[in-house]
Amino acid sequence: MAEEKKDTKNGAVTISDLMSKVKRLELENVSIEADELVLELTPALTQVLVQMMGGAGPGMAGAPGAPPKKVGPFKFETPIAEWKQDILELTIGATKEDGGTRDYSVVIGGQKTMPFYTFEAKVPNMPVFSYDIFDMELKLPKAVRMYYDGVMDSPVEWAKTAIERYNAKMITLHLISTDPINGKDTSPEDAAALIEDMLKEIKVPMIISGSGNRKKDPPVLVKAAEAASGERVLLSAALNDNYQSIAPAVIEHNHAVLALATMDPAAQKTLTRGLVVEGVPRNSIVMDTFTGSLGYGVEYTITTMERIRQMAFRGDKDLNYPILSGTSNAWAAREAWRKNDEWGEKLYRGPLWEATTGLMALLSGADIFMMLHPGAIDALRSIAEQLLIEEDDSKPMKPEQWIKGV
Amino acid sequence: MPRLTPMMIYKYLPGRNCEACGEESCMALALKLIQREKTPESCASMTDMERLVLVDILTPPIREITIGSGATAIKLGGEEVLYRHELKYFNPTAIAIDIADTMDEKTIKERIEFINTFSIERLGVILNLDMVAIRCASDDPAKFKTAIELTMKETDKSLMLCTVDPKLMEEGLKLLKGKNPVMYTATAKNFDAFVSLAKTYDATLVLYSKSPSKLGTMVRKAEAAGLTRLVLDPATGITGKALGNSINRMVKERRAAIENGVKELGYPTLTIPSAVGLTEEDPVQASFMETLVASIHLDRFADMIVLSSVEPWSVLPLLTLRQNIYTDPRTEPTVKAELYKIGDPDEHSPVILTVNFSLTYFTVEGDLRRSGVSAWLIVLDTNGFAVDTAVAANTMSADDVKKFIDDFKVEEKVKHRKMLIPALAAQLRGDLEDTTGWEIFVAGRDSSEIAGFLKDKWEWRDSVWKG
Repeated sequence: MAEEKKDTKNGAVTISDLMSKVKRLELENVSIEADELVLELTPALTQVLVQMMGGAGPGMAGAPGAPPKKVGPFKFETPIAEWKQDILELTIGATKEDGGTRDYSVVIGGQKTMPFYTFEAKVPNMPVFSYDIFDMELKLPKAVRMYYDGVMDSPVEWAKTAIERYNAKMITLHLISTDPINGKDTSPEDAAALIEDMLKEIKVPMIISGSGNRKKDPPVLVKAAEAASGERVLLSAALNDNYQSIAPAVIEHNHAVLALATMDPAAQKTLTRGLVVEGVPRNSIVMDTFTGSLGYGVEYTITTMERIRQMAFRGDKDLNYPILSGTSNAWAAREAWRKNDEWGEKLYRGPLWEATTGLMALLSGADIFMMLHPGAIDALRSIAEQLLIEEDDSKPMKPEQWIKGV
Repeated sequence: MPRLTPMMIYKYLPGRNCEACGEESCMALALKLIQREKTPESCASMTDMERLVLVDILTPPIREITIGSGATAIKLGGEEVLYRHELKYFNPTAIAIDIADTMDEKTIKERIEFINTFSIERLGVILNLDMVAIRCASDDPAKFKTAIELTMKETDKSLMLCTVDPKLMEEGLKLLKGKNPVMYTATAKNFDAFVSLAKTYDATLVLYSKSPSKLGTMVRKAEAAGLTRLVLDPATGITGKALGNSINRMVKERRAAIENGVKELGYPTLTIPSAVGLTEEDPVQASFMETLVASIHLDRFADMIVLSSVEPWSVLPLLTLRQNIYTDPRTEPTVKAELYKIGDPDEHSPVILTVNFSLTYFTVEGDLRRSGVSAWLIVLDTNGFAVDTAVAANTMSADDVKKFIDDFKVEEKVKHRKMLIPALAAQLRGDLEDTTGWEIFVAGRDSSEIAGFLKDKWEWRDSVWKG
């Protein structure tokens, strides 16, 4: 073992090298057996140890009279992780072929390794960005409002603007008017009527989201599932305390469902397992691990997603589902919208706050994004495209180019 | 996976459990050593040689080096893990802003002023910029020297000198003797001259190569020449598609160093998001994309980054992100859940609901204090979640609030039954009114709006603003 190591390391000195000289180094209370040592020593320590042992054998670095240590070339071997399973693929949107009326469908998931580790595996599906549309006017920051001037009182016109002007490939309809307290307590039937209207007017795949009210959402989402029957929408969201009342409608109308558990892999497992027990097919589940804003918990989002993703790659069957990021939560941060001269122009700061939050989710495992600001989405999409490298086919900038600014 | 286990370290400790280090046992000390809460010097019952071996084993796979000197010196590297949940990240990424010796004096002064003064306070910590990178864009030694001298006059921050020409580099190093500047950068072409300069002037040397094998070979040669303060740039100046390649190199090299113990790549990494400006002409777009590229680098293990944007809106997100990512995931970001007094509240002062996530608490408390409000602040235990997260996770329910009111006898503290709640928890209003019997008000979407709400709506204003 010591010999092998010496060969592969091109002459780097290991503890084993030193041990082969003295066989066994007796310390006061510890005895180090030569063959249990695999740790390599730093050059500085090697020098000290060699001197302490009263010089070294011929050819060894630091030995008196020995020629200077020859430095061999280093050969890099790309470290490849071996994972046990891939993330499941999931389709949103049904075209005519599949019994729906969408112009196309989108596929998410299928990832084989951590995001954009393209040296390890191809990226099977690029991230998908779904544009937020609300079913009643609400107080959005100016940086967002300016993109949707005059259309925010009509969800259909709002969606059309996102698609036609800002190139949205997916739309999320948030049924916030159904909320009894913050909304207008509109009925599930009202929501269903709007959905039918939307599906006639726009032809992109859709996410249909409740208001987030854990009691009102189940009846709203059940009606929404009926209204969108055959269109394969993503219904948002099932929680640990209401998924049983949503699951039957998901199954009956062949939709996908979002399983929301907040930054808690154990709760996430319970929820996805519960949905599967209810009969929801495994290729119809997306997880929302909750996206905290930059500055307000994004590090928990990073860590939860990374842990869940790695548990999935290691073989956890309750967690190998695609992940959604509710990136628009970034706008809850005051830094995203508040006027403050010390923080600089808020019209740029806001979308950058959202894009940075989404970027962290992208790098941690998110496959699909609910986002608000068209500029933030464009920036993130552009970054994702730049990260998608299959071959080392481009030249980096030379240092002198940057130094001289040419 | 954590690289070391307490058992592995225990074998190198005396095992007598003498407690002289302040720990109950050698095993307990072993755990503290791995978590870098104690150093091998804590144990007095080891020989120097035993301690040397232990220090070597405990040396993190990414070596920790110091750049600069004196009060503004910065530690780089010292990292143990790829993903923060595996332990934590140790030394926050150092952030430099660049200047060029072709800029006029006024511009240089303005940029350095920004580096010196831009700061934000978050969670009781002041976040700052760390360094100045001086680019020799002129190829003129006189201009380079003038820019360095001006910088030294304007700031104490650590410096990075940027040129690939050994003669120009030496002109700069002469001015910075004993200051341990960062030399950017050694390449395949100037390698021997730069190694020799780094040795002569005891400076920190950056090694640049897009080939991990060549980078590792450069490290071996630099180490053999006696250099210990090395920084690696795996060719991170980007143009278009090169971004993906450079990020992949960062991942591969860091993974090799940490998971496979490849010592040649076990040095801190430096990246140049500032290069975005070379291909992006629109200044707003350049600042925007620079922050995103720098964010990727921050997330993908960069220990030092160089920016060119001095726009507060583009630097603020990065300083925030750095603080987030380098937060110790092992400590709970919470404050004690209890009834807090803001100012001098009485029986007519408002009752305000918030959560025990420390950043939320400090934000609300700071806003109230600044506006001179006296109030009772309910800090609810939401498992350390922010308000929107807590509502989504159901760790902030009407029953929890009711229990808090009972446990902390809030109804004995005030005569009214009116509570202000955050807008992000507005959906709880109905439940709260039913469960507590209190009247619930949504004060605004941000705690900075509470004072204005109280001014307009609170009937006992003398119990809010006293004297």
